[in-house]
Amino acid sequence: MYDNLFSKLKVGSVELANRVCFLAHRTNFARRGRLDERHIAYYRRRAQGGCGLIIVGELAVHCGDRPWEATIAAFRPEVVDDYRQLTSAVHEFETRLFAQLNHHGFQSSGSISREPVWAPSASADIEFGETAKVMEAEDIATVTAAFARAAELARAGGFDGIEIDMGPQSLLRQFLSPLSNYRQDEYGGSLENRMRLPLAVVDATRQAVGSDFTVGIRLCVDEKFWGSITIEESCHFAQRFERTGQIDFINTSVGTYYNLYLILASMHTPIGFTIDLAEQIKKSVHLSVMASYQIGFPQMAAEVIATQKADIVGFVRALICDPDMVHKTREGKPESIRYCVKDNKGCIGRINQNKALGCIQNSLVGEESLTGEESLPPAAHSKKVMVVGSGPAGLEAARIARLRGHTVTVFEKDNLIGGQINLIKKRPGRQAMAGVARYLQHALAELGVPIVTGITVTPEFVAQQKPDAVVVATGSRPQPKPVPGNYGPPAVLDVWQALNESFPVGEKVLFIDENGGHHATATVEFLADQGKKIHMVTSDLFIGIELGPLGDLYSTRQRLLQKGVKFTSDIIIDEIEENIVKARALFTNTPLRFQGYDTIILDMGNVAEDQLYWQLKGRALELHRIGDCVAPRGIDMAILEGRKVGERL
Amino acid sequence: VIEFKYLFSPLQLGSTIVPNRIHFAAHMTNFGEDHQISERHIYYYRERAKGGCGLITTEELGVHPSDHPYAKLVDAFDPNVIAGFKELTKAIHEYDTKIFAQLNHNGMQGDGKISRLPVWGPSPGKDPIFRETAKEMEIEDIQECIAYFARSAIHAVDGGFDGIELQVGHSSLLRQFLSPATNFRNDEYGGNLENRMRFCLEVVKAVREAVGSDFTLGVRLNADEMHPRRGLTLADAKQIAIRLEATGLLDFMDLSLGTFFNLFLVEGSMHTPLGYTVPLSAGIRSVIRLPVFCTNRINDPHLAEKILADGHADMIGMVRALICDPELPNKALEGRSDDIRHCVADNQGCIARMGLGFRLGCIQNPAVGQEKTLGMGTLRTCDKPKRVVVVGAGPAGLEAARTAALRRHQVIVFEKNDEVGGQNIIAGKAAGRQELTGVSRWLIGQVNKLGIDLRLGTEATAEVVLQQNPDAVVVATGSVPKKKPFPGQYAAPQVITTWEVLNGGVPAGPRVLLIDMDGHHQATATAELLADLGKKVHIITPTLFVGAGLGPLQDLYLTRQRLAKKDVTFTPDIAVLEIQGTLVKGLNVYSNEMIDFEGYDTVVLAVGNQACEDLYFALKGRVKELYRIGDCVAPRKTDMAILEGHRVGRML
Repeated sequence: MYDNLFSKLKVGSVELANRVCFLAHRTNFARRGRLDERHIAYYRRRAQGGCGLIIVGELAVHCGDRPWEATIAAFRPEVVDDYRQLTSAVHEFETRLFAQLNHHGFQSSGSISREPVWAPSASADIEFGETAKVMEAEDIATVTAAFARAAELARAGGFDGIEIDMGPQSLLRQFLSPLSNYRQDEYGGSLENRMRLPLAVVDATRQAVGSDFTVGIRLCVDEKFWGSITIEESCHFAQRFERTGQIDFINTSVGTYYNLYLILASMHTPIGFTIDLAEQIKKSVHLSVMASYQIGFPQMAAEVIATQKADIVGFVRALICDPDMVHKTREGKPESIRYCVKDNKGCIGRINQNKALGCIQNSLVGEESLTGEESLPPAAHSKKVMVVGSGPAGLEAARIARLRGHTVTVFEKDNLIGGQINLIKKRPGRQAMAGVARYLQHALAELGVPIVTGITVTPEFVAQQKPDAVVVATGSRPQPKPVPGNYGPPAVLDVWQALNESFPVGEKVLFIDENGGHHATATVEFLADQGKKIHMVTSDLFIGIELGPLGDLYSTRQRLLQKGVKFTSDIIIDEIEENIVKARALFTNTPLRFQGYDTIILDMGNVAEDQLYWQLKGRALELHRIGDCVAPRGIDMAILEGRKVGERL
Repeated sequence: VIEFKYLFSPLQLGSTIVPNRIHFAAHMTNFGEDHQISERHIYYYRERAKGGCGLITTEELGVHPSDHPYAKLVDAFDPNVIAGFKELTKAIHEYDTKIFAQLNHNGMQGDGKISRLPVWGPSPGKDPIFRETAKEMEIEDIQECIAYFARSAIHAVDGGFDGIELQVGHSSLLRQFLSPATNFRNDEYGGNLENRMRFCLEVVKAVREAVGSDFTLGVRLNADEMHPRRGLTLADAKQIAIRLEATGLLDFMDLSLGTFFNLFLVEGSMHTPLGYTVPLSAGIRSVIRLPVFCTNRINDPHLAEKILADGHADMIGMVRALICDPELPNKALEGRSDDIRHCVADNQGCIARMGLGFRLGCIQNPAVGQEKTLGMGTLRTCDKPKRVVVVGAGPAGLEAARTAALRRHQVIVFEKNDEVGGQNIIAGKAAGRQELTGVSRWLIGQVNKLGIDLRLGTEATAEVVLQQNPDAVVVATGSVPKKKPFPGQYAAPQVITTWEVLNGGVPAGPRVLLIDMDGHHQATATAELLADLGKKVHIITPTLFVGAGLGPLQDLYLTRQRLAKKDVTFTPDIAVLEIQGTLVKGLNVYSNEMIDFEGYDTVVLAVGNQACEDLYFALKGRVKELYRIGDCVAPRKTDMAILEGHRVGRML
């Protein structure tokens, strides 16, 4: 079934062992413009996992371009030493390694570079908001030379090829696109004119690296915006690039910063939504073509190759989440893969806040061991471990503890395994989150760890079991009384009561959102889908304040508004009396009353379910506490703490 | 100096004698590298010592791995920091200046996304900025934290500091324990004041034991949280101060105020009054004998002197004032107060950059963070004086002219208007933005002192410039509002720009629609001016809320409050598609619903500028050396104008 996926492919002068590519992406691991040890361990781990090609991003070709702090200064000769360390670490495996070279144009930050940002025309990017300098002829020559110079350094550093970035965040796309190029000179207007700089860069890069080195481009094949680059035009671009005889492959991408939800596609974006675009490019040229975006499954990837829609399939988050996806597929164990659920919180959400890359499920991202093996030293003494709670924290703790040779049993008070995942997956568009529990449950089944459900663990029960160690992972629950007043069900519910349908929810609903994320918005969508009329109020400046970094803000707000949900921001809740909410306008302090609603739903945070921990504390046994019962946070911290405790036991 | 009798008198703090009363107080810089002191730190602080301040307190130094509110925090608990501390203190001790280390744990005002640990707090609340539920500290956590304070204090002693300041101010775990707004514990660390103080007192005691009795130790106490409902008040802070003094373990009491609920008080912009915290230091000073520090928006030595003379404080904290002009103390001492470059509390170069994770800067002082290459004493006289023509007397042109003239070039400045200052003057006409004109006031003062040939009311065409036979030309012609930003049939006086409002050229009618694609003061402060003139103003913007750029400046809250109280209304999420007369056709960017905005007398556009670059292109290829700086390269802000002006002045 996967033969096509594991067939070799010659791209330029390089032979790839298979069709799986770990695409260029941000990690924020760089320090002072240099590659970090973490980069090397991170990429090496993916090579060890068996992907055929890795493309390394974050390389900026010119000193005036610094969209974020952790870029790699691909123009400085010192980087060659870093490249050599990286390429030799990856070349221990069959994996080939390309360098992606980029200038980000006006999608960049003068606040960091302390220089004007450059662009074809004098507009401001919607994210960075900085009006660009219209590039003069000298600037264009500088950029062209910078690409060539960076390519030389990449080749000297041992890379197997170059990818020139013309994707969603690139100066070269800005030249290609009528959205950002309004020049009147030979670099603007007609297709040939808009292609002039990208063609010059391809030519200079090819001259710099010679004819025996692999060079390709990453093209934004459809910007999917009014007046933007279309797939039809991109087919012409692709053919024109092919005619130069200077490139070996075309990688496809979509979107701009006007539609970040396409670039940072979350689980709300359909899987495989760009495959048809790659296919159209492939039909237009004879070059190798890569497809990517939301192809999270090897099955889908194999089909893309088998049906000749593309020659290579690119992954990012899938391999962040499970570096061994390729090996597991090859061994016929796709059910053992830890699939990315596109929550985006651990990866894209962190990157957009300038934190180092992470993953909600794979807590080792960025902490990969340099020696390569994910080494879990076996426990000195095998202990009898009780894990209380089968949410992500408890399951991950049990998995790691068992891998280290402990005897582990998980106890769950509910009849369902997975803790809060069971609530999350009820929300429309958030069902994929169930994958987190699916993987852990599957892993525990393989390891033979029993999960006992429907049992409330008490200190007495613990005493009877005589464990050597207890891991308390009892989670959290909604704050019972977040604001003063006399109120309660059925008029006033918390989010859990609404999702569990433990009380009926009326037709007119006031939803108080102090969460700002999916917890609130996806619950509202759950109710709106039932035809309820919902009014959301928040003390934040806008509804969905936590969703921006996840790439989910735009489409979430759009869906809610289109489903008739009303938003009121800047509201402080003072008190609730039965079904009347007394509030204030945050800025004017004007008193307000919200009344006439059938149901009021409070999303005002959780409290730790820490009773068992306090009851057990001080007793003569090894006691650990992880996840929400320490402090209610998110899945990423639950799983991270689960792993850490598993390693410490 | 008679003028500054108090300001330049020494002060004893414990075993430390500080030569004067000017304190470069603790503040974030984002200069840390790998959680260590960087070379940039050393040159930065050294510049302030060289400029004559009596005391420096470092930025907060973290005492525990659970506390990483931002990536660049220096870890005082790590023994490796001592080497950097030694280099820093040695550099400062080349001068008379003393230097203290500030030790802090930010508690729940921290970021588990960086530490990958739970944030610690007295109770499981959420800070309004970090929004992360804290772990209620267990007894072991409290004990560990105390031990880490003591261990970090020893590192500070070993690193050569003259003293230690413990942070109990706006962003600190110790304040969170003190405050009824964040401490809801039922054990011996919560409840009554004595209980809420317990942790703080234990830290003070442990640190004192660690550093010995002859080492200077003080606290920075929150003198008033100004929390609307249940925070610490000045009356509470007085009791706390008395109790802290009674320990006999402390040598001084520095003060701060506010919390992250009201950060606009902690980092007051020009919309907050100068010296707004004086009542707090006066209040605390009235109940204790320890020397008391007063900080926040004290940007001038005369104001500082008056606060001291009035007995409202013993020491004056200055942060932005010395970021902007490190030589402020020496200039005051030498009777050169006129030369002081006053901080205008715009916050764009300093506080906003901190909030966004960038390195510290300053809109007026381009050397901040670059002291090694741009600091005092680095400006060299030119080898061969050139005849330099600068066109445009906005901040970019004036800074270029000033720097070039200091290097002994012969400089002529052409300005087409009758007054200098460029957009700085226009921006200063908006409501509450007057102080911004301090930028051009200082530059003009310096340009005049240097005897630069300033030709006002002269439109410099290429021919006019070439007639001067210049060796070098600097084009600093600025920018103007975009001529036709939207499709449609429209024109003044119905549709006008913010400039036309601010310059008073075109009067607005009673009902005004303001299209805000700026997100900064240009839009909101113009709206406020119109509201002050009695107009009914409605703002539409494509962003999620009005004032999207004001948050990092700490101007968001107060601006929105003032506008709301002045009956200015907002519609966010609107993209403008076209204008016909005064009819504005918009689109809700989420629902894609078309919305007409009509019935307005005047439409005001705050939609961005375009570069005035004609002169540059007319001269390109026709002069020996041609430079282009500031907005005529790409319309940006004052910081980049001055930075580019300065760079060109050095390059000539």
